[in-house]
Amino acid sequence: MNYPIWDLPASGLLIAGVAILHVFISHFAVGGGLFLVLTERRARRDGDAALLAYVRWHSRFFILLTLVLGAITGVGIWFTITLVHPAATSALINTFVWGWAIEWTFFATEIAAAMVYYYGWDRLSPRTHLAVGWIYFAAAWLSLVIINGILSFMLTPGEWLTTRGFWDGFFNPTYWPSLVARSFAAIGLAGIYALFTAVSLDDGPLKEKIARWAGLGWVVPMAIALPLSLVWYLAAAAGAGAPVAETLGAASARTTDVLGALFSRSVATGHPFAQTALRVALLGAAFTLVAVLFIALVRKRAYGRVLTGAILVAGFAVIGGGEWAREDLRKPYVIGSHMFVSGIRLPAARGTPRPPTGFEDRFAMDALNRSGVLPAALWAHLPADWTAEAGGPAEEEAGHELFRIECSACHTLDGYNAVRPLVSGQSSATLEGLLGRLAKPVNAAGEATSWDDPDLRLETWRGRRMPPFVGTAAEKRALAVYLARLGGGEIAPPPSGVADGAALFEANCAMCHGDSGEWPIARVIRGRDARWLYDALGRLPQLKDVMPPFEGTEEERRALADWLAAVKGGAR
Amino acid sequence: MNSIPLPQVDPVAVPAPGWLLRVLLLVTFFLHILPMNWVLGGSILAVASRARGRRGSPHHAELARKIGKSLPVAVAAAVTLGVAPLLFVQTLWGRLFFPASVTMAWLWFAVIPILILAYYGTYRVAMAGEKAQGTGLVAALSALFFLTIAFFYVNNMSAMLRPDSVAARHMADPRGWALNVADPTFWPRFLHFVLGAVAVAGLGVAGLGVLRRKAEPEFAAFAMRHGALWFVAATMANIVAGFAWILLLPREVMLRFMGGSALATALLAVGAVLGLAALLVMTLAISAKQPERSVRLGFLVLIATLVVMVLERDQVRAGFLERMAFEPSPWVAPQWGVIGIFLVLLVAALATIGWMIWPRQDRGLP
Repeated sequence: MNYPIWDLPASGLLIAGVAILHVFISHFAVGGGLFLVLTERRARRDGDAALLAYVRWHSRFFILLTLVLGAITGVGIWFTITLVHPAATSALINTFVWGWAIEWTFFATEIAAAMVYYYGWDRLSPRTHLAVGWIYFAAAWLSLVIINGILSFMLTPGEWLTTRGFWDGFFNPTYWPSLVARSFAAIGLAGIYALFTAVSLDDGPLKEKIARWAGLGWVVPMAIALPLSLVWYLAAAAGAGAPVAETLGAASARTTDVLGALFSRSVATGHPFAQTALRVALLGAAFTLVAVLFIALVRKRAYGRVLTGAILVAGFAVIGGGEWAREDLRKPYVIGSHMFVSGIRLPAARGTPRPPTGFEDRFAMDALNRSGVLPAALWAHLPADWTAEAGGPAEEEAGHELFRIECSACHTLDGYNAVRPLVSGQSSATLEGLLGRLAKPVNAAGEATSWDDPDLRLETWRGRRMPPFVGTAAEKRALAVYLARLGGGEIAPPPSGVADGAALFEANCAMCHGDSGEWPIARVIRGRDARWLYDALGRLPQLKDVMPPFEGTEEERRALADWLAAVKGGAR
Repeated sequence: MNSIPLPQVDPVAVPAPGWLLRVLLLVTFFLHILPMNWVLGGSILAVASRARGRRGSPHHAELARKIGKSLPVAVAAAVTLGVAPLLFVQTLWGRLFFPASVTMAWLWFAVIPILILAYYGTYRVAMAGEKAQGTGLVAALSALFFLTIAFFYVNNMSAMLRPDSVAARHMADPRGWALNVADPTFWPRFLHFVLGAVAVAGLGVAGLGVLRRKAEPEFAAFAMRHGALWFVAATMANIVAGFAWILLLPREVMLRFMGGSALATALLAVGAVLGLAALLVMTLAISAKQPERSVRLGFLVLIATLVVMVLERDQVRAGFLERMAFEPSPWVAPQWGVIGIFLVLLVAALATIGWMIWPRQDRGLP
């Protein structure tokens, strides 16, 4: 909106792809550094030439993987976020440029140390070589220490929302659990990679030694510790307002509830991608634990590429699933309570330092609701006079542009997170009604509040983690028209101003209770009379907790009840 | 020029004064171009030398091998030192840089996989060691990939100075494939950088000769002369490219270098004199009996020239920013504490790296 939009549907997937690959290697780069230096120390102390030769050989694999693929994909994440999300990148840079600069000093030291370590096997004394190894590990871990602050900030910005202070954002509510979890992941991955490279050894006793050392010493403890640290992480995230229970479809963020929700068949709420991701991560950890124990205690010398490769894949699943779930927890924000994935900002929280006079944030949702998204969007193709003909092609085109701006970061038309099936058969009136109730601001106690509440929570329609529609009423209608055309639904005329039961049903109920909805209304209210229906409309959330309250006027409530009784209920 | 869609400034304060970011940008960019030029120019020179080595010139074969062996470390240095200036460019001018990047999104993204392939290529060649047979194609592809990356970089860095044409390209096609090659300054600018890289690599080869003159006197004499030749040829061509670049700049920007701005004009004059001095010194090195002194002097003059060229490039950008009436964010709230920590850690990192790469007595121990 403030920046041009790259026409790449569900562009977030590109970030996910690059990021997961990078995280899988970069965590190994941290833990693997510790593994190299400890294993080298042990080999030198014990005078174990075979083990020393193995570490040396492993260091070559390590360098080739981490210095090239690891380091360059790290730069790649940065390249990708600037392309997919310039607005968020800009906000992060303005907040954390010095954090990145500090990380860069560690990165440079890390790269130099890795080179010196690798080329130094014959050139340096054992003492110096080990010292360089320690420098490598320290620098690599410290760069994680820094990046973790920025990454965890995006989910839980904490006090930064009102102070805009560097350290408030950096040491945010999920900083420590996230750092511990990532450090554990790094150590575990080091063992997994070591098993993988040990496969090609011919020396049986050495192979067994590495299986015990890497498997029992590195992987197994972490396969137990990592899930425990995730429990801490989820608790901290929930405490800071992240929708852990809602996203995972659990009754609360407690571990038993989360596990129950993840592994029971009856869960109908929550974010299916996040649930699957976390399930994959936990199953990956369980498989890793069992398979590594099997290698270390049973196979000992006879483990091969297939088994260690499967463990590597399982490790990838743990990392990938965990990162994916974290990303989904953050949705629909790109920076929690500051900016939505669409690049639209929330109004600054009460108490935030004010910008210099004369500065107005044109891309905050209150400003956009007032003056419109399309006029503010610098890079939009806007058909002239699109409001002139209701339901006309110009209005539909304006709706398409709004879709690009507000929806296309997450939704494709027919592919990933496809929107067409979601709107299939729905009328523009239904969709317009739905767009009006995607998300509401509530406080920690669940009571309605304003968007600039410093302790803001988001109550989303059926837990779907959608941002609110932002823009004028005409824009909302244009988007609804576009979506209705997309799904082959009817285009309803603009509201007449008279309380019309059919129109009210379309706008407020049809998404779920229409003929193509999940719960067609006729079945639910068969035989009910208008008086019962009028009464029920006043206590919808009590009837079923996923139902939103009816928010129309007294006259509208009566009109809707009458219409339902006459048309759908079959009784008066 | 009100119609240029220039993004609004962020409602988060910029955490440093502009001058500090700009100083750091220029310093780190200068540090970046040293290894970057060696990677780009060196990989091109190595391909040429390898071809001649195959036709029976052992010195050429040896030179190609030596360059190949050095490239993985040089790529690591170029990438590492390249991260910082890109960070400061985004902090200072993200509102120009981001739109320009999005316009060529797939191509800008492609820098990453291309770099990974080129980088692995350099390792493949370096690890092949003495028997470098069969790596000719890999080396040539790596050089081509580095050239492609330079091509994309010059596209983005020149496009960000023309937000008007960036907007026009994005509106015409938002799929992220649009290059800035229609910009009249693009080709001379690209040529200027590529030829510059070749010249720097030429001087690097001559410098290699100076370093190896005791251990391999024959090869050293060859390297000094051969490197000087490359330097002179590339620099002569580059004088043409450099002036073409200046003359094709938009009038307001060009005039800064013709007296419009005292600083820009002085930099151009000093840069031209230094460039010519380097050219003269290295021409002497080609025919000198004892070329070491010329090469050493040429190296010093070249470093000075590069410093001035970096500043000139900054003046080109300043001219474009002035032309589009670019206003930096009025909201600056420096994070001095964090900046202080960064500077301390930077010194610590330099000291640590210095300690690690310092030649020491350990050598030769098992």
